[in-house]
Amino acid sequence: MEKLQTLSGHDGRVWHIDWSPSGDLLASCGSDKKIYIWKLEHNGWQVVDRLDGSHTKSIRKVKWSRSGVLLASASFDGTVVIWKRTPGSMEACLTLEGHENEVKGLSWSIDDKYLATCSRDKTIWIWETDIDFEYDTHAVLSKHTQDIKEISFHSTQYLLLSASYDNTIAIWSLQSDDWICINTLLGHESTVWDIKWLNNNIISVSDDLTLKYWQLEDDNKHHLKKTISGIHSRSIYSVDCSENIIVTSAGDDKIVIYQNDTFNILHIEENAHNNDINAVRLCNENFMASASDDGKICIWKLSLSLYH
Amino acid sequence: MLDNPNPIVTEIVEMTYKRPTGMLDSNDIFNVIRNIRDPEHPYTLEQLKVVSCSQILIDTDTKALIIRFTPTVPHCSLTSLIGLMIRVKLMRYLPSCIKIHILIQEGTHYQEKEINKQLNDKERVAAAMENIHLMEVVEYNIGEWMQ
Amino acid sequence: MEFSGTVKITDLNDFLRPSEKCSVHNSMIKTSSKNTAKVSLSDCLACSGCITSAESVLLETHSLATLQEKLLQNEIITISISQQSLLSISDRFSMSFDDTFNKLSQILKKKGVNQVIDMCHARDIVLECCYQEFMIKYQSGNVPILSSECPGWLCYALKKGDSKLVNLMSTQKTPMLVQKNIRNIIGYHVVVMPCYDKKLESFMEQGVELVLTTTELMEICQGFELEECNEVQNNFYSTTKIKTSSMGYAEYIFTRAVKDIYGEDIEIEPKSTRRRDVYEIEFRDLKFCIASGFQNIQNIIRDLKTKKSNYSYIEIMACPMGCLNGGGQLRTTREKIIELESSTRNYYKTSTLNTELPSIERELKLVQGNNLKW
Repeated sequence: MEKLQTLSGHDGRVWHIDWSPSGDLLASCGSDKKIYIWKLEHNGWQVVDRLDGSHTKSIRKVKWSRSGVLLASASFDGTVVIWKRTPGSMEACLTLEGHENEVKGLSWSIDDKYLATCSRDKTIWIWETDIDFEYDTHAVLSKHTQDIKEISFHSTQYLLLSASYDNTIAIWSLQSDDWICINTLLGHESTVWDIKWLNNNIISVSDDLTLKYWQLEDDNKHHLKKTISGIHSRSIYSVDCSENIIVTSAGDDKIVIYQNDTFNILHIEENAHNNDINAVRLCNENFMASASDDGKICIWKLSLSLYH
Repeated sequence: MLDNPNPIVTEIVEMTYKRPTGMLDSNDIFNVIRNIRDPEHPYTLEQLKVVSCSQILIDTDTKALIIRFTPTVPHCSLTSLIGLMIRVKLMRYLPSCIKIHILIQEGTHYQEKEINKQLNDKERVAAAMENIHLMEVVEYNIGEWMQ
Repeated sequence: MEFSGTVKITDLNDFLRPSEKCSVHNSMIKTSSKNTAKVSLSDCLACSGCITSAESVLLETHSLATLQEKLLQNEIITISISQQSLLSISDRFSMSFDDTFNKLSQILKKKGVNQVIDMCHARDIVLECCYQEFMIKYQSGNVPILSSECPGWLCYALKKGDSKLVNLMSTQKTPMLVQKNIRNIIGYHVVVMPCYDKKLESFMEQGVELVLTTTELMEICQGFELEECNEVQNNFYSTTKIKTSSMGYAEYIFTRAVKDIYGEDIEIEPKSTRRRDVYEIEFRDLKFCIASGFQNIQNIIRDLKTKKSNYSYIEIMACPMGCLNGGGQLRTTREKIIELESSTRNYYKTSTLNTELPSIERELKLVQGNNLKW
């Protein structure tokens, strides 16, 4: 694993980063209430756009739509802003209001038909959009008893995961126009910070310092199959996965890479940043970005030797 | 209507000491937080024995700072606020690479577990620090102007 | 206890209790025996921070235990049962509306309740008042008018703090609040409602001592099989205006308005829209909306803000599919509710529509009042 470049620009902690679906752009957001759009130019990654003025508090997450045309930003100010990609820049086109306090997670469904948002108000809002780009509140889901930290749509089905401060993970499914909670995964002993679909299985990371893998079994429910502990010494904030690897980042300033199926540790990058690493996102099998409280974003190259 | 209408106030003995240059020690940390004012009573956390030098632990290997504080009564509803004030003041004094843990002294509050979780949830703390009304209260009590 | 999704038991700010934004907090804190500060519900319903304490207040006072106590104390007790509660029970036991009412009445009287009555008359009067309120506002161009019967919706609208929105709402009291006066009830008045949110509403006004939900009523009746009681009693209520799951406001006002404005008698067939649980009724220039579910509350508010709404009246309910699906009703399904709605609508159609309410003038004074003070 090799650090290719350190991106400076944000004034304050960087909360999240997201690669555009085609991998040509990287969006980042932070406590400076700005979104930076980075592009790989001949002399390295450069800022090509600074999105400002739409949020009045820290921006916690940014997520590109599946099509790559839209970017959604979730903020502590309780709103979500949808930005549209235009030639040369991004334009704010819509503000989604409704959550009672900080919005902490965002996820687009497979066809971008639904956008899910979650908040400290303990609810998940499902927004539905149609061809004329109107956003309607499709559903408001209340099940968690505490703050919801992150949500994640399945890549091909209308299945949604939610991770909460209440130590549980909920799985939601769209069934005849209703979003039903089909299962709740218990097992973590503290806040679940991030969850991802790994094909039809689930990976979660938590403040309890573990990574958990939940497998879909014959009874059509997910069961805890594996718990990895003792790797991170502080809250694990982020997890991402690809065909071959899983990567985590935590408050111990480390990034760890695991083999996808065996969960063997492939690499531990100590002091990847000077402070907590809030997010780590894989671009493809070769590139990765990380965002930290130290105000920096790092671009990493993953070497082939990792995969053997 | 105060939670604790009769707090116990201790007299402060002025301590003079010389900090060895270099590493931070618990005295340095204590100096930062001792004069934070209690939100309910016109006394400092030191006077109310909410914080003390012995409840500060520094682990230089892991760059961790663990501070335990004792609420004046076990049902004190302002405990999370006091914890937040301690954290905010420390964050401003210390280099950001130091990981701060704020915990309630074991067995001294009915909701110890819940409040500890909240005080050490980075995201919750960050959002609280963007809450204007809340920060007004915090700033007032951690400010040095009333020395 | 399941409140509708709009009434949230949450901390507005999780570092200060109660909410630091609460303006009444400093002047109105009451201490309980545990010496901890609690803001009582009647001080401030609209602030979500303060409702945190309310849950414990409710558990203490609005429960079956309270009714049991009153029964033991030999107080004069009247129980009013809402139509939605009756429908829920009659559907569960596959009995007719009349039979259900009779049997419940017998069981409750055996337990010591003095009087069991329905709420049809109160609703008739309130509907009429709402209609007259609508005509006045409509004719002076003050549209749209939003219903305010649903406490979940009302609480949410007040909580939102948007005065423009609140100014659009009807100021008529709900049937539950006028029932006591209309039926000349003395003594302890208990009302059976389809949801828990109604318990919050009863705190704010006079007229109701205790609100029980349909499920709580069934708990009292445990031990008495509803099918057991075979005595036939008199039908002592009017069944002329049994409405559907919706509270019937939009339908009633629309029918009367069309008659008054265009001189036509029409049958209403609500049309669905692209949003689930949002229906429209339309006749020439007059267009009303019936919406339920929290997500639709959001959508309606958004449409009002962006001026996309061209309705003259909007009936809003917090529970999806309306009161028949309230949080305090017996468990049911969407399909069953749709069935129930069409059966009651048919029933309504075959009854005579009686709008001659001789005591309307007088009673209007009693009901008129601004329930927005909470």
